Amino acid sequence: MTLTPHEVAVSQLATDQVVPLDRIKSLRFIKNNIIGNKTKKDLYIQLGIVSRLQDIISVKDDKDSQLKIQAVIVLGSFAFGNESNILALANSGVVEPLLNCLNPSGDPKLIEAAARTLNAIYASPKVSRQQLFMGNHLHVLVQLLDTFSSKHRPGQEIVQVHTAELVASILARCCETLEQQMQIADSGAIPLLMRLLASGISKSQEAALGALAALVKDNPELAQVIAQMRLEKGERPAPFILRLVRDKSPTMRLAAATCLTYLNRAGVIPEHDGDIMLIVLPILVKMLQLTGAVQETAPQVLAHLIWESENMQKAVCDMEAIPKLASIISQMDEEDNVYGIVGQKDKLKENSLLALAAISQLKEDCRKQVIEAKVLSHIVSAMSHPAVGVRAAACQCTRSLSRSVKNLRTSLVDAGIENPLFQLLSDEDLGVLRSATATLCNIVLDVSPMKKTIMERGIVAKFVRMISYGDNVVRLNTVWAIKNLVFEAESEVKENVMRQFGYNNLVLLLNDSEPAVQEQALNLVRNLAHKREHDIEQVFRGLGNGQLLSIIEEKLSWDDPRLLEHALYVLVNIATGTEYHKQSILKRQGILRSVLRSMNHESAAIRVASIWVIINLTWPDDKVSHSVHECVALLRSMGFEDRLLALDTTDHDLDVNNRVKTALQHFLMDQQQYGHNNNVSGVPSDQTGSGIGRHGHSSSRYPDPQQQQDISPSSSSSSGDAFGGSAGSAMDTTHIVTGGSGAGGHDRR
Amino acid sequence: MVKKAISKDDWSARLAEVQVDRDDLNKLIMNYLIIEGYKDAAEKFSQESGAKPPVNLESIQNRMVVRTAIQRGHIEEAIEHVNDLNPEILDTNPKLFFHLQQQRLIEYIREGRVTEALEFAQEELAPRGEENPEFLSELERTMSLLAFELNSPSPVSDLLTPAQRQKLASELNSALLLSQSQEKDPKLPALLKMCWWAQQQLDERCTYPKIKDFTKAELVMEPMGAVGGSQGSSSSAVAGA
Repeated sequence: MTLTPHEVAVSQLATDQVVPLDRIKSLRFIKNNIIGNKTKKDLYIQLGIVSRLQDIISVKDDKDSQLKIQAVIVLGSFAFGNESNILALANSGVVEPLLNCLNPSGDPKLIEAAARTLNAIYASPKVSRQQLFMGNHLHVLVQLLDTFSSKHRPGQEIVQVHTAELVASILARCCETLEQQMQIADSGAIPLLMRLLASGISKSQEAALGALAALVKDNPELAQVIAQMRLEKGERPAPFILRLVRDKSPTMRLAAATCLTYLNRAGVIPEHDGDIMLIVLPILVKMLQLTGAVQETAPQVLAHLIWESENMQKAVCDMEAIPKLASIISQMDEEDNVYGIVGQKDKLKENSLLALAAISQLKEDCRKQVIEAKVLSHIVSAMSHPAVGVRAAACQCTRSLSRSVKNLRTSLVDAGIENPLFQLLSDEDLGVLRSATATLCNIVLDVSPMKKTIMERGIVAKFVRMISYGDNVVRLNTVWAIKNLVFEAESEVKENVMRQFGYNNLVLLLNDSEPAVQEQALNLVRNLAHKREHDIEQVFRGLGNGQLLSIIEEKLSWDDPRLLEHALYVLVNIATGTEYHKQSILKRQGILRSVLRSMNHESAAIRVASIWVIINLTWPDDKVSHSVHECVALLRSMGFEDRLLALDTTDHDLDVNNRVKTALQHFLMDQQQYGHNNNVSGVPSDQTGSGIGRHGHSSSRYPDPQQQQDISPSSSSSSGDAFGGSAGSAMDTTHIVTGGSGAGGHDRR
Repeated sequence: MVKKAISKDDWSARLAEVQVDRDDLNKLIMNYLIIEGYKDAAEKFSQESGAKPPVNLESIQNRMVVRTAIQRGHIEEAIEHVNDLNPEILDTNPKLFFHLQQQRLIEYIREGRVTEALEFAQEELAPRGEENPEFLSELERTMSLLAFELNSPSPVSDLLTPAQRQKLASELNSALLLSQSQEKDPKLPALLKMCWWAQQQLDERCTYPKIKDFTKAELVMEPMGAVGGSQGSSSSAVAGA
């Protein structure tokens, strides 16, 4: 059987057989076959070429540098293939010998070729960076950044400059963790990178910007160090880079913009905030209309820059970024339909979706623009995209959009978000799960028509699975979602949810290792116990009276104000229940003492909450006036009235003041009915005016004109219940009914 | 709107006042020669005019070799040269690589080597089409060359012209320039474009002697109606841009 020329070429590489010149000839043959040609790359790897090449470059002596150079170049070409090619190289152990080829005493052209090949290999994030940080390798690499070193040979300046550029790029790619960033910084790379930055050679400057950006990303310490350094003429880096961001080369502009973005996010260049807004932002937006690698990366940098910044998001909106992004995305979808999803433009799609997610994160106007750009259907279909990055980004988009009440009702429903979202809850990728669960929090809000349908599909069963998923964020989001699900829900819904979810799971969450999860779980209890005695009773039964109140007592003893507040509101809601419910609180001295203590808390919100507990416990009710009296007596004996009187004169907060007055009113009424000696058997002397009942407020007999204020019915819910507390922290307060609803609140996630 | 009118004499007088530096002119010409890859011409020009070339002229040599190879239809040779100069270029430029392979196919067909052409198309070009579907239509066009008689005109006979090779040579030249961090567009054409655009802008405002043919650079007065308009003192002549 005759061998193909390719098989012949590979066999010619074997060490013991052939004259070096023939081996070089074979290498060139192979090189010219594989450059640009993906199928040939795969073919040669199948023929086992990698190990042969590895043998060649691992030879210790420096004689056949030309042979080694060609072998390294061939390896480099494989590294420009697809990711499986790169992994084939890395897995056969080719990285270490390549690192050794960087030895400064070797042929400069070999060093350059090795740097080029390593740079291409490290383009894949799946390749381990470990070897680079071991032994002497990092030190050798960093020395190669020094183009002025006396160690360099004359006449090789161009090669050395190229090498320095490649090394900077390698460092940029191997700079992902905090440790790696610090190790590179410790090896003395930064001053050398600064020199490259000021070198005046475009490619060198771009490479340096890439490395510096990677070093300062999410690293405030290094960001500070670099922002404070001085370049040759005494200038700081930031103004220098601001000039580069207006360079005529788009790749330079992008590199400079990226660096400035990370410096800005680290908060180390506040004096340039205006420049970022006025110069960098528009430049990034304009890049959306370019093509190629710049267009692909620009949206990601843009998203990073404007994240959590209302001002910048609004500014970007005004610059018409949304229509540009929308057209990129919809055009790609069209191409996908014609050619089938090839996968090359996935990153562009992912980044564009990410940018949309960032722009619509905080402002309703921006979300409106996104809907108007008619890109929603593309976003929804991207939720089922084969590439995980695209799915995650699409999900982020829907999360941002779902924060708006109006959208929930109309556009998202119409676009059919439910199906893909449900599917994503079973996705294997953690990032996707986090985004999907966060979106879910908003979807299940009371105002959403999807709430009903999603329950019918078995969302609660999914919740149960995700609680035990093992990721803190996913768990938190899930509890949050359940909390929102039962907010102001019908008793039937609440029971349905808890029957499937299980109170034992709730207990686990109440004792979770993450305080944030505990907080949401408490909030969940608050929402469950809100509104109807029946609901409160369900909670009592489900958790067990003893267990419920023990948990509350425990939470009240913590220092955490969030836990404290929610725990208090659980009590507030329980106190609107039956006598039995109230008694179960009153029996617990520990709880009462905590409530008393909370009345002096530094946070006004907590003081208000604690007073509401008292207000509700002492709520006048003709039918059980005797129990009310006993309650008042008990509280008075514990010092509550005195504390309230003290607050009446000393507290400056208006809310607190109003609640104090109401509470004091109850104590006073009791005093007037039963006399000063609090004789339990006394008959109420005057019934007039006590027909207040538990429904609605009416004018009180206490002649304090201020009293009228907190009786205004508009602030309470239509049911007119005893106040159960205000809504929890909400994102867009304009969209949420605040005040009197009494539930633990519903939050946008 | 009544357009201002400027006479030929007036115009010529103003033009004569504009100073153009000889050095600038030489630089423009040198820039053009270098980017286009005319090494010998650049050397001679440098000798005769005293203008210094901004880059090492040897580096132009490499590009010249590549350009010549393409112009002669020796595509494989050109590819080997490029890979020696910079092994990254063709790995990072799928479109360019495809055009080179496409030209190889054209050369096979031109020489009447039909079987080899078909084999080549199957082995080398079809995979490129699969990897990048946007190349498919160009591939189809090239393949249809096989259906027609070589010497008779056809809808795809433009592929056989020297201009096709020229286009490829320029594309490759630009890629090489970029990889060497040099600009890939000469300044001279940009200036001519600017002049053309400026004239168009000025057309809306006045009548004046125009250059209609850049190679002749003659001022041609457009025929017009009433002369009207003031003898402008400081009308913006060429400054309109």
